[in-house]
Amino acid sequence: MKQSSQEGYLGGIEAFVLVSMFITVKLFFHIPRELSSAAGTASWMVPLIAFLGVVPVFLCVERVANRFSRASLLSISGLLWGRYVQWFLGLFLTVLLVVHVGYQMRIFGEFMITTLLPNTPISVVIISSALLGVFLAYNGLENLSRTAWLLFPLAIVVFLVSIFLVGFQGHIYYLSPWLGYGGVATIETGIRFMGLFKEIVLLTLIAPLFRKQKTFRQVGFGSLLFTASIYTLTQIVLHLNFPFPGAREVGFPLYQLGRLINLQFAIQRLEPFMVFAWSTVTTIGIAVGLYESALATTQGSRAPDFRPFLFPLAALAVVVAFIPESSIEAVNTYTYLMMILPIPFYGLPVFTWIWVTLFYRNSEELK
Amino acid sequence: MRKVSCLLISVLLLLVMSGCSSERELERTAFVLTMGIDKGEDGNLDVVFRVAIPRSMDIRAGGETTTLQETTKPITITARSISEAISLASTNVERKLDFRHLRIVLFGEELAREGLVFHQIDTLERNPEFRRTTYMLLTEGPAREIFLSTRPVLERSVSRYVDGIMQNMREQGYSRPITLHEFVSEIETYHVDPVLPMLKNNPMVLTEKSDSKIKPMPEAEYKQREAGKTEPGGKTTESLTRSGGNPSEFIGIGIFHQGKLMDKWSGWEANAYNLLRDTYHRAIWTFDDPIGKYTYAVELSKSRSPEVNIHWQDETPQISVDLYLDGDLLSLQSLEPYVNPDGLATIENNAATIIEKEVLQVIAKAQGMKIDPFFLSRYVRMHMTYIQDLQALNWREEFSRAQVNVHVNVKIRRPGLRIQPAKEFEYIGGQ
Repeated sequence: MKQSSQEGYLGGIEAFVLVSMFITVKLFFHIPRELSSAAGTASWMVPLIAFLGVVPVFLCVERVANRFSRASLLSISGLLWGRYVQWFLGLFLTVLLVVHVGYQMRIFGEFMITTLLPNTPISVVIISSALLGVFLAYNGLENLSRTAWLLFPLAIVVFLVSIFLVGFQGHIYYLSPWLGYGGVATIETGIRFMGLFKEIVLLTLIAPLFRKQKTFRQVGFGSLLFTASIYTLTQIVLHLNFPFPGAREVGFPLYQLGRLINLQFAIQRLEPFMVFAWSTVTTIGIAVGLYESALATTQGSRAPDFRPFLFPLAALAVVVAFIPESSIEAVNTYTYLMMILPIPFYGLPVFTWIWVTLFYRNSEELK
Repeated sequence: MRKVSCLLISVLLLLVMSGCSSERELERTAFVLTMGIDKGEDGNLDVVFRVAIPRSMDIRAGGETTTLQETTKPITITARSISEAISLASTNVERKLDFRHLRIVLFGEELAREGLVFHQIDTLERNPEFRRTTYMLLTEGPAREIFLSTRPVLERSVSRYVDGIMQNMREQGYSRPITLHEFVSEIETYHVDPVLPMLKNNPMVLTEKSDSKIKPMPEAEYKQREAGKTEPGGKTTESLTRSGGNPSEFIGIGIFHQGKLMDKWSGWEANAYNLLRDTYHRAIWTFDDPIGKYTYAVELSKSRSPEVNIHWQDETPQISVDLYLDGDLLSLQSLEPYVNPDGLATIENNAATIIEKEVLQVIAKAQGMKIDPFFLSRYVRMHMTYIQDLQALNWREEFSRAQVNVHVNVKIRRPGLRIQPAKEFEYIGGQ
């Protein structure tokens, strides 16, 4: 069985699901708690404000992609600033993405151990998820996106059912005072949490896999809007059920919400279904992260295929996963990463767009 | 190459086998169904676990047990904390204690009076085996005493017993079922004092207990004990006048303030509390008949949530509460023909006046103690914009000097299967 080094095109809906899953992985971690801690009762507004902040960034991504017929951002940087810059940016993005995936694997491992597998060594969970991630990523983004699309109905149904069941048990007054720590403070928090959508940078690397610019644009805006809605809904339900001082201390908020579902004799103890669905989404997210880091290396070094990079990068991600000494350290560093990664992830496409707008003229325009 | 890949994958798959280290065999697990915590000596806790004996409940496996005592075994351990008690219990129980099916936790009154309940909650929240949907109860006296003397009337399954009791609490309103999640949420919420449902032993029924069975007392003794009790059952915190059944009574609520048990309220007061806290579902109310003799009973359900309006006038909070109840007529002891528009209006107004009086009484009681277990501040915070305002609000002080006006709307919708009461026209009884 010969594996082709060429990748097929991405379908719009599959790409939308894939990017959405990649963005929402952290929803199952501690992030809802961080939002509550930062914005109090107004934490549900934070994803919406962050979404509004990310839209101009994506517009830059879209404009740049359109200008260069959906070439990848690293190829464009090579064209603009030369191959050494392309190589450096490829390496830079790879390191950031490997660190990001490593921390995701660690927190996923901590989640599994805290909730379902208390006596299992964390190394087993991390290495298993890395192996599965490599297996999924090895077959390319086309296959990965189809897998995501197949699992999407299960994930979304379980998520919505759990959110609505637990939402109806909540109390509206826990959402007040309505503007949390203040209007300006909430907007400020929204801007600080623009990293909620940092995974959208994936689109800058996989742009060549889209057939049409319109599909590319729809996938970008669609997944941003969809994930912003999911985050907002989750924060509303979290605050309907937990008073704000308590919401910021909940270990794994979505899991805790799932455990609250208790409709007397009829419906209770549903969280095993939810953990299964969340683990599925997280695994897809980890696979996409590994794929993306391999792709950044490939495009940075102008290599013909990403597959040879997958195994060493997955091994590096596993190493990174073992760096934090405790769960709290992993969680804090991940939150910190979420705050600073948007600087390069959003900064690079925005800077490229500014450069292209101000300085770049192609041969047609020069005539 | 393919063979090498297959071999490599197979070897790597062996890693997954390590996941079996978290396996929990049913045959090696002892499920704790209920737990009691009392203040022990020298700062210790007396922790009681009721462990299920699943085989004794399975009729197919030859189990022919009829009581809770035969399907479970209590174990008491003295330790410095719940976690230590769990670890010490493993020195004498041959299986691993598992709390995933824990349904109820009882806290002894002494523990609550000394402000030690809140200190035990952290274990229940932190350990993933404990669920936040576990019910919590406050016992009058030591939890262990009630733990050992409880005798469900019908159920031998702890889960069904607990579910049934909690369902009755919701439907009769003499208490309020509270889960760990609800209790913790109230602890963490600004300007509300948490409550726990009360559980106590009935001394009359306890005297009937012999060899783990309840033997109802003779009529003469019952009459003797009944004598002198003038207040209706549930009006005070005193136990009901009762013979037979379960020695345990789930009635009343314990009010906490700043971590300590501050007061115990009766079943009637719990009903009024439920109305204000919006935890009222339905209850049977018995009212004195307007003719001054006899009673009539109505089952009243909440028709909509309370409407509470709070505003400040000359720096004095003015609280206006509107409660909406409707329901069915259950009995007309006086045999008066009330089932017509005028008659129903009479008994509705009478019921509303009595409920208003009871609600105002509990409000006055809370104001006197400068506490707000009703969480009336939720109506203030719903108009707030910033958390800082909520934190700066001195609600308990404001509430204690508030002028409260309560208006109850009672509507009797259905008279039951009888219209006017049966009346023999020659009968002049009771006059």
